[in-house]
Amino acid sequence: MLNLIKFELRGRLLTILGICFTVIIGNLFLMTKVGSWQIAVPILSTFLGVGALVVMFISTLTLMSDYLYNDQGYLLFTLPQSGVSITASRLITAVFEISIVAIVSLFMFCLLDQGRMLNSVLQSNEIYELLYSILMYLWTIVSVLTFIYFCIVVGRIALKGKKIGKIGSFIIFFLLSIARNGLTMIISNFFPQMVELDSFTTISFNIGSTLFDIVTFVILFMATSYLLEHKLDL
Amino acid sequence: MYNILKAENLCKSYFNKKALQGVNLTIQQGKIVGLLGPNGSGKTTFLKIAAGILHPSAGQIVIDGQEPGVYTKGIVSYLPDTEYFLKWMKIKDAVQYFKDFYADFDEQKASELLKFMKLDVNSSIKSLSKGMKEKLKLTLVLSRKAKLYILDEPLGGVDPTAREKILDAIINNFSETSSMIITTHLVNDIERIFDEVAFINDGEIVLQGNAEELRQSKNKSIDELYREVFQ
Repeated sequence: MLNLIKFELRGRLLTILGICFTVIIGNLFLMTKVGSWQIAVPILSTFLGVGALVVMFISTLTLMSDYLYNDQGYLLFTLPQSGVSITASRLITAVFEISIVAIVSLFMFCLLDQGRMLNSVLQSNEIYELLYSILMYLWTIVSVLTFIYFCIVVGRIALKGKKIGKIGSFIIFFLLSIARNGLTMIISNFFPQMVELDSFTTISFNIGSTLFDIVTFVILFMATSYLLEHKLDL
Repeated sequence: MYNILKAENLCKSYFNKKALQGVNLTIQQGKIVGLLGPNGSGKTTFLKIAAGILHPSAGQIVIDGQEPGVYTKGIVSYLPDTEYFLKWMKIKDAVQYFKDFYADFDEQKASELLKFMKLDVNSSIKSLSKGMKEKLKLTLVLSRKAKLYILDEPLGGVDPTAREKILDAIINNFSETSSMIITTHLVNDIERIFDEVAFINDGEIVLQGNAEELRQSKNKSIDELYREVFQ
């Protein structure tokens, strides 16, 4: 699996560097406008960072679809690697890529802002709250990508054609999202119990919906791995 | 003798088209088998099933006693008829890729074959001609000490001189402990290396047997026999 991650990152190095470079150049330009544009500068820097993250996130979707629809699939799926290995390597690579862009964007924002925002966050939050935020960030990326990868793989297997497969994947994503959100609401209503951690005054979550999210993630991850290993026809 | 591959009543359908209709084929250890047939006859479909990237609709195929999967991918060296390299790769990256993923990859052998094929490790793969890419694919595939080699059109799109070079590479690097299945349209160029041949048409094996025995019994070369069967 480590080798899969290594080669994937090597292949996407230019994309990552390109996005980071754009963020750096954009922020350097904004630094020259600190006195004249005032409040617009941090807002534009935030937009730049968020935009870069969105672009990187969309780019990570090709980590799965490229191999399913193009000839590179012959290279990946003839390797003696299990479906779990392939799926996990896509997710780890995606988290790594998105995190690099996030770190660069935050770093540039801190430089632009002369560290005021960072100081304020560090002073007003417990270290546990920051760790919780990082954990939620990782969980959000992994669970959303697992959900999308599952839809891409199902679309590819159920509908063989490239165009129809991609449209099908989007429709599957749309329908499954509605179903999942509906189920989450029903579960939250049936099991309204919340966990409020003593040391975190601001952190609370619904037990039922959290368990449902974890179970959904495990099922989708295993299903994607199984489909890649046993049902995918190139 | 030990059978490295055994297919029984193998079928594959795409919607309403039947690509394979009950194929029975056995490959013994140490043999080179030619799977011959016209376009759309089911050759590539069969090879893809054996390589584990296509799944049969019915029937069974086992390689070294196991159904195609993670284990068989580790002992099968497959040469597809597509250009599957990643765009950013140089030849040395492709060699490293095979070295990292296949335990049976022989780096020394790869260096010798690259030299034999006159390929520079620092060349970018996207700058290579079709024939050179074919040579590179074959170099990587033959550099593995696999139990079964599956070569889909190894001579496709290469000039006659390169064909000779590729055939020499296949013969020189084939070991008696492994087996090979090859598909080709260029029967005349390659028939000398076949131990067995199987003619496939519309997803069915229409004739198979020992290459030399077929030549003697029909008093024809395999190429002539191919033309007669598929005229």
